[in-house]
Amino acid sequence: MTSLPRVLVGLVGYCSFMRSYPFGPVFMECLCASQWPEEIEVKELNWGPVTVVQDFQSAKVLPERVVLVSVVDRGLAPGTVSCRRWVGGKLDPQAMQERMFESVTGVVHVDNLLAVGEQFEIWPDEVLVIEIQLASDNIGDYVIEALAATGKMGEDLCEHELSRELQGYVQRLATSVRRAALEGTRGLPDLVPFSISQLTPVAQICQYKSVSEPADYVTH
Amino acid sequence: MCFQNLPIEFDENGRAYLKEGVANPYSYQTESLEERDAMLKEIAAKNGQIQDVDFDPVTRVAGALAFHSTVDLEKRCVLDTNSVATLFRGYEVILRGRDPRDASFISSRACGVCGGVHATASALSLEMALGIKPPPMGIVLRNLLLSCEYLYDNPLHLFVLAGPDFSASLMRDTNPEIWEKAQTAKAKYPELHGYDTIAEIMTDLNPLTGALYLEALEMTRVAREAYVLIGGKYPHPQTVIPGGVSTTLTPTLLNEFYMLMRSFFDYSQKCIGVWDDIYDFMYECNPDYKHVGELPVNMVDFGQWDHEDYYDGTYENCNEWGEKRWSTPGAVVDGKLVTTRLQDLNVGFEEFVEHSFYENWDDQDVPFKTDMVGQPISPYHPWNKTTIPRPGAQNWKERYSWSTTPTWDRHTFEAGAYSRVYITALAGKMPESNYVKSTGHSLVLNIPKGFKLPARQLEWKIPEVWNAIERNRARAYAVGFNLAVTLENWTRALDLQKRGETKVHTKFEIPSKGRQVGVGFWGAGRGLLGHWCVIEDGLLANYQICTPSTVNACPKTPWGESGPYEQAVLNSPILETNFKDHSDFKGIDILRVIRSFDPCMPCTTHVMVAGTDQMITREVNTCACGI
Repeated sequence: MTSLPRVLVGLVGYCSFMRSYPFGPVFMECLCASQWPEEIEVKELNWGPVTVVQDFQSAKVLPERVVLVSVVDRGLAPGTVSCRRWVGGKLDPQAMQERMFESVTGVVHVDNLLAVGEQFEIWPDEVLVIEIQLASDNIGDYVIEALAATGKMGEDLCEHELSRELQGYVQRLATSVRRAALEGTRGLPDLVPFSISQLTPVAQICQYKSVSEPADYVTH
Repeated sequence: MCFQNLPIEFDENGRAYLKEGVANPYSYQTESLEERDAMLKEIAAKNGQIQDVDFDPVTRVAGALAFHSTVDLEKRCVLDTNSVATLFRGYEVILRGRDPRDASFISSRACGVCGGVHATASALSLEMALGIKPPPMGIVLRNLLLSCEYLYDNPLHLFVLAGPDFSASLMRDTNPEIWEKAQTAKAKYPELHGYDTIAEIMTDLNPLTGALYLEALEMTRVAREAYVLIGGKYPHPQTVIPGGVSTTLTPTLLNEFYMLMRSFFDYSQKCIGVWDDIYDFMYECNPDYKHVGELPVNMVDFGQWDHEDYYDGTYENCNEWGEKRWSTPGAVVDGKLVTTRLQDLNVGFEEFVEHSFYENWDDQDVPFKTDMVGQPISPYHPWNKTTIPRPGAQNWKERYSWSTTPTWDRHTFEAGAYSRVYITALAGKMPESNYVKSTGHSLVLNIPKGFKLPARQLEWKIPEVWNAIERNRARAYAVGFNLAVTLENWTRALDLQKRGETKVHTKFEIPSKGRQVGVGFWGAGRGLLGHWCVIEDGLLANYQICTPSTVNACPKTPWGESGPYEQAVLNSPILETNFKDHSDFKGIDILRVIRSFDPCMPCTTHVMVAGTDQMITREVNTCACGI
């Protein structure tokens, strides 16, 4: 039996997950409810990328495989799960500084984390990025509608049930993440490379806008 | 007499009252911005350069502020400006009707970098409303937490956000003549930072690779770690609560905290030395830098860092305990300190929404005509304000921002880390300390011996002019000031611990009936912070927050006075030299002005080039939320 490498599974993108609240928390519960080998650590990476970098820099033991999981709007069909392997690359200094600005100004997004992590050379050879595309709805719209209907702001407004469809997405995403964590690139034969030049431009991240052209990478 | 515009006078006991015979004491004339627009169009018609300044924004926004300037590149001046907060945050709406104990935790989320100050301002507000006096150790630990926030925030701004504007890579692009001089210009303060020439400093300010840039990132981590030792978590600590803190004070906690703070002994000297050198050099290269972002000195700060022997949380005594804070509250009008009394600051405080995306509230039937000691307050005071969002299309002549317009004595004013340095220095009222002294014209800092540098006395002096450079310079000295206050409070914490006074919290209950009113006078890394609360029958009936970026980024007053960003940019010459036309114009001088305020929102500047239909967009990211 082959021993597992040290694996970090990190959920990234507070805002992205929040937009489809409670998709993120439900998904995290689902992951944590799974039995994981002791080599695999599941944690939230919803911190500023610089903080994540500093955590890596000070860690006594670094992961040999990182699986980053996020909800990202890349203009794909809702429910699309994509799995890519980070291959890094270089940005010109000005573009990188823009990412740093975003990172220290509170934009928590997997693209920024990848870029800033690359800049500070924290990533191991094997970084897998698992994303799901969700429909363009968000908790804010739901709250506004509910507020308009009831005329009051109450605790019950936040008790937002996950639809059956989204529950299905949770399971699909969890399956891909589990395979990526346990088997790495071997378990995901359709992996395509994901380089720094393919990151969503900064302004689009920050405005939470869709990318107009769907990405051309392989989807599952 | 601190009020020149509001019809308020004082009796022999210093208590404010409304002048007699004034029919509508808080009325005001509204100036239509149509006139301003017409004036600009008239200029355009005369010189044929501006076709239209009334453009829709392209909010390529990394956050919550847009800024629009109309620039004449030939005459090198700025013709018009509009500052726009593009995000509705709505904490005032969220908090209405909630249990007051929720306020610290929810309002804390207003900012990721100021993730402790809102919790503290909220706690102070409730302490006043509910009559809670924290134990001395609770007050002192709260002060230490605040210092950590500032030691994290101010260096980040100096080196990661504003610093690159003075870096070698930027200077080569915008002002190669300055970069050329920097090669041979000797640094004046090598004993503080170790650099021989200005070019060496500028090189280490380069983003991503510069040693000063990278060191600042590391120092922010040290400060956050110190915060977490006491606060348990940052941002958004759960340990800052009304009545003190819920920290468990162990015998080793203060020692561990001190070990982290030691890194700042040398670093604070370095911050001051680096920025003194850079800014002195900029003036020497071109004295017109004194006019970049130049404004008359109008600023308000509530002070912060309470003295445990004086703070009792009451409004009745806030003038006394306020003046005993480790940074002195006050209002400076046109360079003169007109008051250091918190009640005066509160009485003169108003908020207007004529040019904001909010409905005006009913100003006739407001709940409070006076404060808790019978002094008059305005219908536009936060205790009387109702937040009524009214989203709409942006219109420079009407409503164009989600920021409101706070005023003190009917004028807009600045808020910043520099305000606490400035007012504390000018007031000469701070309590006796081994580490910091206010002289009435300067702030003397006694920085202890560090790992490499000897102990040293450094002095910030009130500058002759107030501009973008001086805002940043004062912020660099604020790092030393923060450290000095930290050491003062650390020493006090040790003394309290020795005496066995280790209680950190006072229990309290919220009455289920009646009305209670409070205000948390506090500060954030970027300046003045106020939380005003009204509790009715055990729930929050009203909660209002005023942040420093609301103060600085505000749209025009109803009577047409611009906010600080807008005024400062309008006053700025354009000293960028290395451009031919709008296509390669960087707008660096405008960006330096806006960044000098350390806006707590990533901000986009749009520069409309007169005589063209071109708009140049520049990012002005400065906030440090969520690092």
